[in-house]
Amino acid sequence: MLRLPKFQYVAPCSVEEACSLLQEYEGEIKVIAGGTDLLPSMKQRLFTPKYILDLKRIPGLNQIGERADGEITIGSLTTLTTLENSPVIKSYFLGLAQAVDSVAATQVKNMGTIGGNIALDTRCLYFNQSHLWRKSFEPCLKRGGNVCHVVKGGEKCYAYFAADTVPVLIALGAKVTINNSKGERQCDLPSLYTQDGKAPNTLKPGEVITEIAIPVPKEKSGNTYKKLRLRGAIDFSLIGVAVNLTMEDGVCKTIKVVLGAVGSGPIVVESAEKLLQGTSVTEALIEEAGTLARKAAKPVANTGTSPGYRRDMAALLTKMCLREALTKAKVS
Amino acid sequence: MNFSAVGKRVFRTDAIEKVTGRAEYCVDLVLPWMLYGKILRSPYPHARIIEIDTKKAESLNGVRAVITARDVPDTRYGLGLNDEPIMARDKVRYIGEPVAAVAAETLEIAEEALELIEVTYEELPAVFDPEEAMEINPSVIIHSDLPHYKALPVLPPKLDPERPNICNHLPIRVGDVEQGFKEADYVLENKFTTSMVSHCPMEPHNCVAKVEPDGSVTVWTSHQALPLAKSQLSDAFLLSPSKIRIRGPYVGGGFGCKTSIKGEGIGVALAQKANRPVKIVLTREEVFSCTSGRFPFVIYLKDGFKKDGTITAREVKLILNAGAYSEAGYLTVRNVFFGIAGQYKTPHFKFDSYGVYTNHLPSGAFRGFGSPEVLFAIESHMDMIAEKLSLDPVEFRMKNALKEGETNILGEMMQSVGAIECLKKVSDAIEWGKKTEGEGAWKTGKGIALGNKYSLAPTASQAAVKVHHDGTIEIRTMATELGQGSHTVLAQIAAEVLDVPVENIKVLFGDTEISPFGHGAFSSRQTFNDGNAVRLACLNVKKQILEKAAKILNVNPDDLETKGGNILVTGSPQVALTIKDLFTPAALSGIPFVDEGGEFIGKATWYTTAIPIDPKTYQSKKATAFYAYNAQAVEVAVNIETGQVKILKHVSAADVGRAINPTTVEGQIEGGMHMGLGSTLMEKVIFKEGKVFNPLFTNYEFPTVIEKPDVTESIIVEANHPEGPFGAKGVGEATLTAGAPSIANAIYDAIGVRFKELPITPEKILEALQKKREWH
Repeated sequence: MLRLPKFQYVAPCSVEEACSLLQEYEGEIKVIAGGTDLLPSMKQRLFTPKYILDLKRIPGLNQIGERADGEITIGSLTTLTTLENSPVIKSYFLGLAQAVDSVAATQVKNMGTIGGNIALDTRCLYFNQSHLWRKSFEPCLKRGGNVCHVVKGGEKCYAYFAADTVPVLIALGAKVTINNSKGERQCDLPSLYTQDGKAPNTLKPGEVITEIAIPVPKEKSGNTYKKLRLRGAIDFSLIGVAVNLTMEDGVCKTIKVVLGAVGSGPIVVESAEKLLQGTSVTEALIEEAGTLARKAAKPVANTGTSPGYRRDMAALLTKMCLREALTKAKVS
Repeated sequence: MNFSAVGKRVFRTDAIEKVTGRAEYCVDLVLPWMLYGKILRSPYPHARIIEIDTKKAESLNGVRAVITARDVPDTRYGLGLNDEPIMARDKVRYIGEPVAAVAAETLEIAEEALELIEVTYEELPAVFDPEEAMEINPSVIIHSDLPHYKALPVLPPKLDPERPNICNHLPIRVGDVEQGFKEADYVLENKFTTSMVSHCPMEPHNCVAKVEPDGSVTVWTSHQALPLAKSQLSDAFLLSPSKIRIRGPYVGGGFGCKTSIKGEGIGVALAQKANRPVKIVLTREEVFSCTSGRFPFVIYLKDGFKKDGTITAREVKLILNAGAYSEAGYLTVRNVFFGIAGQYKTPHFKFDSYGVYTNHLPSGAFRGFGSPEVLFAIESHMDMIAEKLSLDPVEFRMKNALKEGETNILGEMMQSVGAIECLKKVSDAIEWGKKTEGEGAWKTGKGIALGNKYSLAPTASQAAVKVHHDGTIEIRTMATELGQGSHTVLAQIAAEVLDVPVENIKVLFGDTEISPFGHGAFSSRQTFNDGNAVRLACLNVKKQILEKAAKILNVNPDDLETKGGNILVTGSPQVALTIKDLFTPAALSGIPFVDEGGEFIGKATWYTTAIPIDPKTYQSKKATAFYAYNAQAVEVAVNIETGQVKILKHVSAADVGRAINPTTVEGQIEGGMHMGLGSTLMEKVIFKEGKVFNPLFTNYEFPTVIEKPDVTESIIVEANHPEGPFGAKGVGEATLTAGAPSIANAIYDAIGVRFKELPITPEKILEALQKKREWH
């Protein structure tokens, strides 16, 4: 068994205190919520922070609420299991419930949080390995080195972003509340991501995600999420696709198509959205949208499965999601 | 026959302690003054060691010993071919080979110390492809001293002076294969390959080594075969076997990977230097990337057959990537042949199997010892031939399968052959011939295959059985309990012979100073060999008891029998004597003694003999202990859009001779199906330039419980073996042998694509389907 490196544990009782500690120990501190991704990474010595700041002592961050303005709010410490079992989530956002269900096995979902999934680090076959394993290779870009072992001559890091909830949250138009010592700001989800595998999100030192707000969908809408992996549990996503669409009088009013795990951040397939918006979403257009998703996907050889297969599956899963979301929108 | 204990679904003797978490495994062991050891390993597949600087590590507070090859004898050990040093000396031959080790007060200090050891290497060219390595004048020679290595005289390896990377070669020539191909109406020729898969036992390899005051050593280890560990340590440390005590508590799974020492030698060397006990537990990553896996096979298969489905000739060439050291693998090279020998009548036969050294991770024993891999090719071919001839694959197999009393390629007379019954049972269960409809992108198909697994000979096991005054029976055995249920089986055999309740039997095991000889848990041998030893030892002690009772009762011992732990006069229901009545009360103690002979101890040796294969005629009337048969049938659904395969129904029938405990046999059959599913559809150790890229459960794709098909059926077939205890054979490995080809055949039935490479992953299926579309 690999062991955790030594660290000091800090557990603030308020968001303000958390933010100021994060600022004070910038570069030496990591945030823990469920710890399902951080702790294995620390055992592999991917991170050896001096301090770990636990958010779980802060009250009020694990609630699911419904605001008067028609938004559902989810505290960032809400566990994946709580979300999966929430009647509110299931009735409004079936796609989100599907995504949460697919994240991992029950034990991991009992610990893992929605905030942790949103702030998930990117992964790579050459990065998510033990300290000893990595010794055979020169440090890569993600480890602060100058080379990429996956894309020879690559100047940016291509580690992939495999969070399952993010594509569907983007498709649903979710916003996140980010707190720092000065106060809070709201940010739409796509702008949280840098598309750079080395530092996948724009959270600054001293910032934590505290809440996610999702607008309640209008009538005649359908959202769905599909994930490809080799095993029914444990495995990270090889490709995830989320679709959310609204139909009005047989015409697609709004549509979002978002891919996960085939790039260093979530990929919004704008070309497919443009193609389908204002149409009746015919089978021919769905086929074409699949081709566009295939083009938008940018997997590289950093998993055990080939990029070609993941691209093919981006097309297939997009088509399947579109058909399913369309059916749901018609009956809702 | 009417049995009291044999064939009964009794609770496992280890059930309660295991489900309550109280069973002790080596990994649980803590000794006073114990240190923690860690191993520094080579990052290069092939390199000269120029210098190892351990000074900084030695001076770290809490470090008690740092060792390199300089601290251990310049020796080599093996399992028949002694080619492996305790630690790399002069050069490293694979990524992960031990080069130095540390013992420290805590694991953290040991880990820190490893970082401080500086090793200077000079990289050497490496070879990973066995076909390249086996050439004449190869560019890389892995073991330049190979001709001087020590080898055992029993089942010795056959080297080839012209091809210096070959660690074993088995040629078999029977009949005239060219003539056989001439007689054939059709000849079919194909190449098959398999990938390395890993055993994935729950308990990682681990040990605790302790040096005793007299210089002898005691090693606790998670190991399948304690005498093998003892022998290897004896060779490695030039210590008399009497100075080595191996203790093996319950083992948390093995599947073959714990038949060769993997850290025990380093543990001993550290304990010697530190003069304190040392514990080494390999990390999961080390288990995957530094121990051993299943041989990657290259199989060239050529079959000739007549229009009516008679096989006229079979030619097989196998190239097995042995990796850097041969360990149990050199014997796989030989014994893989029996997988073919046990299967079909073959008049003309040519066979060559080569084990080839490369700079790859060593290959070792793995459940089935080569049979599942070679039968993947043979049984895929059988379906291809049946299709070509428009024959039913089941009938075609039944026609060619060896039957009771027939002789096989080697000249062995086949006995206890349940092949046809296995085929019948699974084809009925899967409703063979009844087509099912797929749904949407899911295309369905059915596949069937036959398999078999021999058990090793020569081999031996001994047992001692002691009868206590309270009627409890103590079995002393070397049989390893690694989850398969061996101890329950031995208890049932003893209960049957002595006619006592199974609960009265206690199994003492796992200590080379207490247990009599037994080869260990490999080659599905314990039920047959240790079972027979226990059976004979019980008969022996029963004789002693009846003789003693006869004296007291003044009757002929032949007129007495044991029943329910008492002694009865045959024919009378009345208890004549209890066991306690045979003992003499003692002064000062409530525990009585036996006044003559000291104790009631029965002893026996079971020796499974073998006749060596004649190097000229390639014949042997007895080269194996037995053949156990397996047939599997599956119904799959293949998604032509994603390439995913779902097993809708999986049935497996195993001919076990006799099921001593049907429940544990079913457990083995079920486990075999699941392992077959994984190694056929998912599992592959990914290598790049000799480095393992998926050394964790999170990225080594083995099936979890979620992948288990909804419908599985385990069927027991009992073709009694005349020499088996109550007719029993072994079952562990046979259950894997028909897995891969039955699944591959079902996939072919579903989508018309033949896969000749394992594993058959979704992306390979999709790629093959795309190619097929382009062709048509």
